[in-house]
Amino acid sequence: MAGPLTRRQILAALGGAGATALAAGLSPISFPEADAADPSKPERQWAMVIDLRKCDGCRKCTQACQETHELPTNFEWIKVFEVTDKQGQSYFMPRPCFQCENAPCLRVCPVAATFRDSEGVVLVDQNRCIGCRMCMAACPYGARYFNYKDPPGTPNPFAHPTPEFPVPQQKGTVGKCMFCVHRTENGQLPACVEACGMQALWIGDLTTDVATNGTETVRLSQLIKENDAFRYKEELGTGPRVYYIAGHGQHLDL
Amino acid sequence: MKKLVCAIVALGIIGLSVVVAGPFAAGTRTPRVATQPADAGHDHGTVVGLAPAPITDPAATAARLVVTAQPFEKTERGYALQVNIVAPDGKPVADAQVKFYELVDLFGTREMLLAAATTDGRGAASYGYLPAHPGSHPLIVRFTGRDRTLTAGEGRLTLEATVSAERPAPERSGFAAFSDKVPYAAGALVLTVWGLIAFALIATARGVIGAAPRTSTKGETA
Amino acid sequence: MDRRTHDRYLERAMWSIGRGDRNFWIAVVGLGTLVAAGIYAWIYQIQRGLWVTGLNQKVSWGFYIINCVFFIGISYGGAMTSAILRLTNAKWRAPLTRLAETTAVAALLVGAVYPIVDMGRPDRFLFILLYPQAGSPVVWDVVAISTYMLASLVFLYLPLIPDLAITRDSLGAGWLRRIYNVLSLGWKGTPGQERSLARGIGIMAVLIIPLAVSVHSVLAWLFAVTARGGWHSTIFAPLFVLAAMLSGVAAVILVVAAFRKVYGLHEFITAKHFRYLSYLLVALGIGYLYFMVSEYLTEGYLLEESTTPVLEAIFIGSYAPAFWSFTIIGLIFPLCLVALPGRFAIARACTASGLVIAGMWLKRFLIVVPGMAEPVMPWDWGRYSPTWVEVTITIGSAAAIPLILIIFFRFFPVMSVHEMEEVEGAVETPRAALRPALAEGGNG
Repeated sequence: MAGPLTRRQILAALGGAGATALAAGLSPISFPEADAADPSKPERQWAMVIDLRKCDGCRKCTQACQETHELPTNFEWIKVFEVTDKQGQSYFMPRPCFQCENAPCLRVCPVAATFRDSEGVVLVDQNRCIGCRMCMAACPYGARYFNYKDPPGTPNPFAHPTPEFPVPQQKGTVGKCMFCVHRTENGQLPACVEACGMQALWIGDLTTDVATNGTETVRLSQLIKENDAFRYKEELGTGPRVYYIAGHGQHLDL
Repeated sequence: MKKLVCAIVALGIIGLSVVVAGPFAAGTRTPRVATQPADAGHDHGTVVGLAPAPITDPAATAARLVVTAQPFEKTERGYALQVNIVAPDGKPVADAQVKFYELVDLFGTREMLLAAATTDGRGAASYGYLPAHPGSHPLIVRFTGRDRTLTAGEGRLTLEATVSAERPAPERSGFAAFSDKVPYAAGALVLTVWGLIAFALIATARGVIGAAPRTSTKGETA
Repeated sequence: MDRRTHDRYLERAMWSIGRGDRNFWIAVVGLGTLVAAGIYAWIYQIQRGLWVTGLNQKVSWGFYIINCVFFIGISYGGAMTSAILRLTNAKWRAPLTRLAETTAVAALLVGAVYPIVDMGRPDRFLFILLYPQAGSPVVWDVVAISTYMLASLVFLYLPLIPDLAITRDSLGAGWLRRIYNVLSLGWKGTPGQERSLARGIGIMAVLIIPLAVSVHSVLAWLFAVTARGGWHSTIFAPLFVLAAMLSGVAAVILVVAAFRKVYGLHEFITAKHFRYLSYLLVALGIGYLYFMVSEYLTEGYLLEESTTPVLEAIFIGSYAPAFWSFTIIGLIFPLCLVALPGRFAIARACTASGLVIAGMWLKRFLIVVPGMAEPVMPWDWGRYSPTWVEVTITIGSAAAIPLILIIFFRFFPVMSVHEMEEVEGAVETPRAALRPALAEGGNG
């Protein structure tokens, strides 16, 4: 009787296909290990400290970012908010991508287009992104931007955007601040840090515990500790890699 | 006269930086102190490779800074960096502001400010330093000078640290390790459901075809 | 059921098969135009990009996600109604199950297209299968919707097998007959065949309920797993499931009423059916109201900073008109309308169903848009107003459901004959007496 065999075969085929699909999908969420292979040359783990006492809201960081990544003007990968607190005082708060260690955007991506590189920066592979915008719904900081249109400027047929250098942006995909990985890997400061005239932005490395704002260099952990730096919406458990030094004694938990 | 002294001091500093900071010139990504005499008599029991850096004294008025490092008894606390400032006349300099720096490599070589301290009556100031990572730590202690007879000086030391602060742990709850496995269970469930649907369809089809009467003319004659 | 009623039932069930009168073609052309307009708008959007919609950086989900949830919800109601009636062996189900199951499939086919319409890169749709990330709710959605679609197609097909045989037997020789013959798997109604079929339908009826629950739960988790104030709620999954059942039952009432009128099924689908379906509607509506109160009470009592702006916007802010019209006109009023005893049960059920369906669409809007527009960085609200593209696609997709239904029932019996015979006890009928239009037209 051929019947049961057929059924079993079909079930096996179904199961096989499903198992393959699942195995492909169950690649665990990538996370950099704490101990690098070579201890003498530990891998960078980028972090940022933003000194709200210094930020004057000039938005040079946003402009520099947009120039570097050839973005339209409404793409504020680092966006400067003017905040008025409950005491009526106002201050400026630049918001880059927080490169969360427990990034919600990374977990919800259906095709793993969002991933974390070995230096802890959350990158988007726009050659993979399907444009479902689930990550934009998931990001509690609104740090992601969807390319509804092609980026401004004449298209360059030889451009070859990569996750590390997503220039130009691809229409129909999501982009965001990536701590200028294409610059840091060449020993250059991120564009926003370099552009900040107030030295309010510090880029730091958690492994060697160093932070610099371009002119001064300090110990990152000291900078955070001595200034009571906080992380925005820390209670969400996202583990942001961006710290804020509170400004003029404002009420901060807005 | 004043200008001359300044010029001498400036020349001295340049000379010093050429001699000492040569290895740290731009482009060198891994700073190392060149002169590292093997000190056989040094205690290697707890600290490896602690060697005082050479002290050059180009200007006669410059303060001399001698930097040493000792591991704390509680080793997890790191190292006690101590600087002794001696005036050209050999007397210790009290109440002097010194700053501790480390040469770090972050977008080029940079001097990272560690701490500021003031010397005590014996001309000594100290700073408890727990490095962020094991390995070489080129340290500089600077004194900006006090007056014409006691001008700026610096001391250097390369600390070969074996003790370091704990690396920041990844912020990942233990629950994540558990929740990573949930999709496997869900996947198994989905496969079961697919199997059940396939069974319902295929078994019914087989049953219907199998139970059909062989001579299938009766109903079709209509 | 006497023989005459039985024959009348058969005649009515098969009436639409192969019939191509003027009204049919008017309906097909009318609905087809709307669908074509929707497809044109979609092509227009694919060519230019999503900027032709009203979506923006703040509100990046809009009509498409609302419609996806809405249409899959309607589908859910159809499947649930049929499955529940089968499992409880309700005697009055026979004329309804086919309509309910077909509505389920038609709405699901429409709803399942929406995630693709919403995608920025629809050309990369297969990436979800090639590089799936099991932790993503979008992947859960794709898995759950496709499983549910497979199940509801099987659930539509299995009870159709005996009816296919009846249709086959009423046809003369011809290629159509051969197709029906293959599809009906040589059904003769032997006891062995009946047993196999009953088992298959039984499995599917049991399976379709958890599957439908899973689809709507997963759709709810698409929202609930985020950190957004209006969305991050534990009650979302059951709330979505109930919303789906509510709108689905309402849709079944409307579909049944429409086909009853147009296809002349008055004799078999009576006020009794509408009253029973209305009871189901009331029960689900009260359940939904309860869930809603539970959700808003827990959120509105504590007034967390993440949820307060959304609640303000919904209850007293810019979304208040939509919210209160949903609550009063779209939920409480229709429930009262059908719960009260009295005359005009059918008219009241239809009015209530229409209001409930509109209300449930509005409720999905109130979930998706304020949740998106809510300031995550607490200083700026987003804005969303759809363009003609979204509106056209929405209308076109809504028109696709009746279009699919009338085309489907041109080829398949609109009421389950076999089911009726099973419930009422078979009556020996000379099948030759049946000659639907298809038999005449199909061979001509």
